[in-house]
Amino acid sequence: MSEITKAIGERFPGAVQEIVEFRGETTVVADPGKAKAILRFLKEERGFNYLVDVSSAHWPDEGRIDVVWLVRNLKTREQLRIRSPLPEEAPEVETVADLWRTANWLEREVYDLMGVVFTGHPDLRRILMPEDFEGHPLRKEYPMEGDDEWRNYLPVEEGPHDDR
Amino acid sequence: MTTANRERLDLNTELVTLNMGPQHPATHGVLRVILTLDGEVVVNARPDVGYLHRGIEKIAENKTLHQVIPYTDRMDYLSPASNNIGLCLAIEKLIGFTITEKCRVMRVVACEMARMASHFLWLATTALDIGAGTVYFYCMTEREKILDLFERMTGARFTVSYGRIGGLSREWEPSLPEDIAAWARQAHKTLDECDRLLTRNRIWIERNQDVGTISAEDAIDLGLSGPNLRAAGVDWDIRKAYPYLGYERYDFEVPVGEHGDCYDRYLVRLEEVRQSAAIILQALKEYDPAVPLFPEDPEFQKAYLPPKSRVLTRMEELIHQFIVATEGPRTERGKEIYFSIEAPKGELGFYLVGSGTNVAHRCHFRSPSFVNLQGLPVMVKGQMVADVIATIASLDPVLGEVDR
Repeated sequence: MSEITKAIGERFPGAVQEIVEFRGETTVVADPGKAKAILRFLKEERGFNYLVDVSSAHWPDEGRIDVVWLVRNLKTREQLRIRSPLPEEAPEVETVADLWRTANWLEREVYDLMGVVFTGHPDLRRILMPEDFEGHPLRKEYPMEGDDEWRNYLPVEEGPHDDR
Repeated sequence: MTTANRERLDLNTELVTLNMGPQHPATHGVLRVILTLDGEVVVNARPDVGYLHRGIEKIAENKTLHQVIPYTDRMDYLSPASNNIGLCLAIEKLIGFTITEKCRVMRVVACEMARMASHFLWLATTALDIGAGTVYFYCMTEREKILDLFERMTGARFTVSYGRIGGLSREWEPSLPEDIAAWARQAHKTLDECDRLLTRNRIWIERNQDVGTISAEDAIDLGLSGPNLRAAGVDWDIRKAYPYLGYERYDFEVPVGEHGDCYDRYLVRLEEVRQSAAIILQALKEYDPAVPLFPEDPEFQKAYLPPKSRVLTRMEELIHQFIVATEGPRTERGKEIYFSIEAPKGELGFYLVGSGTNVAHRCHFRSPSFVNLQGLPVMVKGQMVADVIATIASLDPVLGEVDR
């Protein structure tokens, strides 16, 4: 694994902020602007042909949202995690849906629940929440019990079929 | 082909949008597929999911680690045991717990039983979707026996919540291993019966062969996993690639398909059930009832749940149980792990981030059905409407897991 992280460091000088090893897993903390270039390099030159997961984590006290890609080489069974910290106010990062089609729905899920905008995504819509939902429920400031009444159900007295 | 026909004949036909679901029995839950049709040929299919979204990830970030376990039962509700054992393995990896050999064996048995139950139900419903009603009753009868064994094993037939951090919720009763072995030895009978009914059946072949085909490259690019990936000819199984629970010691084969169509997915699952039965029998040979279920490490003794029999009779263990169940182990802030198991539906992954307290900061479930479902449009384009049903069935999505 250290060989691959070294190769990333040489290929993209200054893009790697930190390399974390924990329980046998390697995480490369990469500059958000360079994340896609690194992932493209891993896919096209290092045979990481399988995108396992796209996820995210919100750290409100540090004002950042992490986007996490987990890629895998099915031949060598190597796994590598790329993590990019984005600013909480306007989280935006380039899509990788053109590299792996898996990313299409996975990125839509991150957009839906965490509010990260993936620029260049072919179809960036909500996927799990209703289309007219407001807010992003996996943000830490979003309350557990929701922030309002369920808007799709109008109160009875204002209902459209109320004939009284 | 049809488009060309239409141009040649100069027929003025329009594309029709057909809304399939979400309330449709053949969609295996609340899946909605928006089909664009040219006559009876599918031009495009757009799956629309989210009707069963319950925010399990959000809930998991507000509960202690132990309290998350029952929620995972409700994800892939056809194989709850493998879900919560998978979560426990992920939590154990995050906090660095070890488990005993006996616990590993018991978990393997539970996971493989869940796989068999899930595949039996899959075969039952798929055959029913395609019109073979008899198979449904054969498979449900067999699954009933598994659920009865689960009831004796865990106290619940369906939502078992069997996993505990560092162990399992309870020990097996003395006669259970023998009964599981006896059942596993005869489970192939039902399978052989279905095999004889379906595999060379003209109607079954017509409905499944060359239907919902996907190439190996497409399957990898779309991130398919489990039987759906293997049916496309990719030899990939998490149990072989990253062995967990001591799977490397068991002698079993990973069936791989060739064509990536519904028929190959059927054959792969059929063989997987046989292999699971073989794994169960091997695991049961290693089961030793005399060994304790939880590790007896004096350093971490207070971190594991005490034996249930003593909780109900002694004061100290009762308090100990209360502390562990309400507080639970702590996670290290910012530490992240990904752990995946080969669930019946494919790769079930857990991405956990520690928070420095007894609650996970982030708990993301990479559910196989969600990712597999993305392959549906690729598979059904150019096929007939009736083939959409066969393809959805062969993908084996569980909407509880898709929407979480």
